[in-house]
Amino acid sequence: MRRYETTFIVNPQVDDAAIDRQVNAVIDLIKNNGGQILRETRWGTRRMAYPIAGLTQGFYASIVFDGENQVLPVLERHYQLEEPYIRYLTVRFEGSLEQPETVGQHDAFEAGESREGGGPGYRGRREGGWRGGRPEAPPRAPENVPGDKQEEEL
Amino acid sequence: MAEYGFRKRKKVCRFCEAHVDYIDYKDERLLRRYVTDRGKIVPRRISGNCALHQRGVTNAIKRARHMAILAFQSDSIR
Repeated sequence: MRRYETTFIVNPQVDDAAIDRQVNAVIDLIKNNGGQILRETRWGTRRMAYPIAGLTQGFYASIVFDGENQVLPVLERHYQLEEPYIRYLTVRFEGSLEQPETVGQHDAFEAGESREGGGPGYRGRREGGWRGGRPEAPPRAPENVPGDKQEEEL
Repeated sequence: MAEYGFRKRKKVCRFCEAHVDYIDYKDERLLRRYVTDRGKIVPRRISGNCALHQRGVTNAIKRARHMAILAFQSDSIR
């Protein structure tokens, strides 16, 4: 028995009932194979980072479950046979169920340093290095640190 | 010593500081900090992550790309 997380994208152009059916189909499949659903998250329809199969949006859902490894090929086959699934990913779940579902908003260390805010960030060597100055740029004027003075005197 | 701007400062892995033990591929906002504008993964030299957490970030980014949460390359290039 292992803990897995399966995430998939359903074509949002089929009607809502059909999306619902696809999500439930996965859940039933897990249950019928001796699995136990621990968490089910429907993120809803969101824009995908790149178009897949001519679609720019997808309905995302993810399910955390306990199950035997025999479920995995069954799941995979299901995803491949049914048309509306456009992507899927099943991985060992190593996170914690106590923590809130992340889905693009949670931040492990929230500190107001989001890159969208135009803050410092690294563009890559060929694209000009740092944007907005190095975040940890050393001060221009030397500070009067006692340790430094001693060294200068030496 | 003390040539300004060349003193090495010690980088500390931010995930170690925050005691993060699993980096979620669904956490888009977190992962965005570790890709460049072009969508490349920011190297450890820059991010300052320890090997363990850099691997976690890399893994998460790759999973996120597969699920179209992050782009393989930026829109402007495509």
